[in-house]
Amino acid sequence: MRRPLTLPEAAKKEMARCVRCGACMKVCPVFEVMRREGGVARGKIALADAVLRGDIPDGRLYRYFLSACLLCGRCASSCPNQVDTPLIVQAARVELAAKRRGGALKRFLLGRVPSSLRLTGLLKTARALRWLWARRIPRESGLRIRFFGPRGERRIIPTVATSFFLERELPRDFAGPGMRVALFVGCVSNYLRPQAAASALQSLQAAGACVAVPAAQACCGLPAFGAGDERSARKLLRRNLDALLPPGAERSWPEAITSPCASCAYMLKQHLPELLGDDPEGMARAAELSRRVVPFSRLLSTLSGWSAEGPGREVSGPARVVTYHDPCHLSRGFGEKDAPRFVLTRLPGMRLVEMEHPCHCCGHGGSFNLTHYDLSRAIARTKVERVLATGADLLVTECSGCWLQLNEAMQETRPGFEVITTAEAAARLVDLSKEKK
Amino acid sequence: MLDGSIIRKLESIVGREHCQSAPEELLLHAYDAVPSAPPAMPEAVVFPADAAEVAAVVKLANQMRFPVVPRGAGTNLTGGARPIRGGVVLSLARLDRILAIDGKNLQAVVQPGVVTDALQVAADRAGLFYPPDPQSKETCTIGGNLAENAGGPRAVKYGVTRQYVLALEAVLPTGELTRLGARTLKCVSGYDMVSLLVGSEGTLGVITEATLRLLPRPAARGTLLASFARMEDATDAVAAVLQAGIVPSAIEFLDRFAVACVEDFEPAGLPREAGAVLVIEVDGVPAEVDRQQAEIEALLKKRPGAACRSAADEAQAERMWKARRAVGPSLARLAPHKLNEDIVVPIANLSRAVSDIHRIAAEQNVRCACFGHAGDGNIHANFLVRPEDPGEVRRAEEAVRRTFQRVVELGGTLSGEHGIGTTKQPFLGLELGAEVMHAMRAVKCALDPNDILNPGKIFPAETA
Repeated sequence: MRRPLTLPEAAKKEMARCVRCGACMKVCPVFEVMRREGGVARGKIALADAVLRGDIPDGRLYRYFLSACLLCGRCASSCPNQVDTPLIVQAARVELAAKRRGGALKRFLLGRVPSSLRLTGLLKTARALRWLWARRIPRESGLRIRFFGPRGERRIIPTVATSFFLERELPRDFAGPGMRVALFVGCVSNYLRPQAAASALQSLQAAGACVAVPAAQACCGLPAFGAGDERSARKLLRRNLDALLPPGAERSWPEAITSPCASCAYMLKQHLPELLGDDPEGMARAAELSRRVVPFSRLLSTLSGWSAEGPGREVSGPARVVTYHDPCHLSRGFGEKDAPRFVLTRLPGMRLVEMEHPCHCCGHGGSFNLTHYDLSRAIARTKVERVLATGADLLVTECSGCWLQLNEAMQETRPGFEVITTAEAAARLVDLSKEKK
Repeated sequence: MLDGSIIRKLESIVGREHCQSAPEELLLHAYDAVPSAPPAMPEAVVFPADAAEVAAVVKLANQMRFPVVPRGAGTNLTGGARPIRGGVVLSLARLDRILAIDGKNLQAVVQPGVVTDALQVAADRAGLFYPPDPQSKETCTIGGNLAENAGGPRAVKYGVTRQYVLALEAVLPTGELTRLGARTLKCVSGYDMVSLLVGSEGTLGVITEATLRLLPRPAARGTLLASFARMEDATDAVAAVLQAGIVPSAIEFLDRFAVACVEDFEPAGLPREAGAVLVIEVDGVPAEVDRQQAEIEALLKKRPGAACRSAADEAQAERMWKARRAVGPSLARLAPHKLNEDIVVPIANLSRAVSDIHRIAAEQNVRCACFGHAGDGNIHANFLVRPEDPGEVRRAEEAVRRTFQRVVELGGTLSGEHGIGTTKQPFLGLELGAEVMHAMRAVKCALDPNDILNPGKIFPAETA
């Protein structure tokens, strides 16, 4: 089982293979807008290597460049030597966070945001959403990280749901026939976009699955993990492990676990067993959980109710143009590019037009969006241009982070432009087939 | 060496945020794409905005006597971009604009920080063509291409970077901003200073703008893949194609080792039993492409031990090129580190050169792959090494030395496109006579009396 590496381990295993050829420069979305050597994989590896050797101190600029990574993995997928830079950056961040004891996450994230900006952002955001942020969204949710950043006042904040998804009347246990599927909701779908989770539930049920939404689930832990705070991430993952695969209740375990958000799913699939690897009892269950995680569109497209009986694609009159953005965690994490497109091409009256570089990261990247607001916006603007160039008026993606980022960026440029998740797209098909009947 | 007052002067020239001296930033400009060459820390890195700022930095360097090392994307393969004597790294990253694509004159005017591929895309959009295509074209910059006189697969038909440079704006080593050459296809007014600067590895001037020649874009391309029972049959076939009066736009060669490596790691359907494989491309008007393709196919099929097929469509052509492009990455899978040389021999001596390189590698007991631009006699001899095995590294270095010696005996040259930098310095004397080396040093001394620009490169240290 792969587990997060310490920096010396990463050095031995991954960094030594980097030959500084610079091929990462052509694919890195951060480098594309930053144009600085410290922005690209080769530079970060050189820095981490030098810090490890004691050639340079792990100073302010080192932390800045290490934080300027989306962990999107494009460099790794195009590296001739297959150097896993996200693994290295992650190891270096954990090392840095460990050095700054107490509130590692907060310090790491907010440490270098100018205090005046931070204060303005905090105050204005807090004022706007006081009742909500202060009381209702739990402290450990990854969402907390996002809206307390710099320029909070300028951000387009999605309307907060009047009732959080997990507080609704939902099937909590498996009752009835069909594949037993546990739905992992994730913070964005729970607090901001409940229709994404509701759509996932509805379309999976329509496709013949028996779906349960375990009540005790928490934030997936990815934002904390990405920021180098492994302790918080472990805590959240343990809660999720117990919620999804309750110990001693093997009979009621789901056959599959999915989420409208591919990043949450990837956290559970890949990082959960890595991070809980030291606990012998948890380890076996962690591996079981990992085995069961399937990204939403892949699961849906393999369910018999969807593939055999779902309505086919029929275009009459001018088709609505839809374009799809590949989330990093789905396209490179799960290696899944076909399933979401399969779902979209079954929507009647829709025509899928691909944008340039659909696999290019949206620029959200967890804490990146906070620590590097301007870079993140610049990357998103490039994405918006590519979306608009397709002529589409509907953008679909399968990750909550991408959805937040792209929705915000699209609303800035084209107010009212519709950005939805694959789950919502699938639910529309369900609605249509109901109308037919 | 750089005291605070010099840093402040640099800051006043380029602006505070564009003059960096934090250890992180210094380290990020201490290396290039030669992993075996140790990082060489500069004392400051400046990012000038225009030619005037470049000139001011170089002027200051002459006054205060510190080295200035120009830098593009840092993809140099011979250690040339490393500031081995400290001083200032002068990054041209901010001079990154394409100033004009001039369809009337078939010219492009570009700043040095433009990525080569970006120029090719811009030219292509205008129906034009900028042929030089170094392997790293998606990351390297025009400035670096000019400083190294970069080549690429198309050189067999289209030549190297030098053939496309009409005029330059450059800062001389003493800090004067000047224009060289003319925006015309012909120019013999005085010495050919453009040729002197192109390939000078940043030692004779900092290029701040280039007027480059463009060609009409070829309407069609055709691709063939040929395999040969013996390696010599392949290299002989290269000469045979050219002697038959056909000049392909690329003739790329893969030896048996390279083929096996590609098939092990990124299978592309290459015949493993082959002694060598050629990927051949022709371009031009469609009828001409068809004719050339048919002629090459017919000619090669008559050669001993040869099998040849033409790509029927784009997808097949892409598969053939993919196999060629997979050589580098798949060698890296076998051994991430290698000594990557770029020797050239007259094409009639290609067979001997490649078989001798393999013999030398066997004698030195190092793994070796030869591949590359056989059409112009330019072969990448890659000796795979494990840095943790010093014995192997030494044997590989000896293989390189013997290879250079043999190449020179065969009338060839040490470097077709990577330059000398620091890694080939010890061997330059194998190729250049003492008089020529003296003349070259005299040129450097005349233009750069204070030894400011990229000092310590190309020429081996003189023994006192």
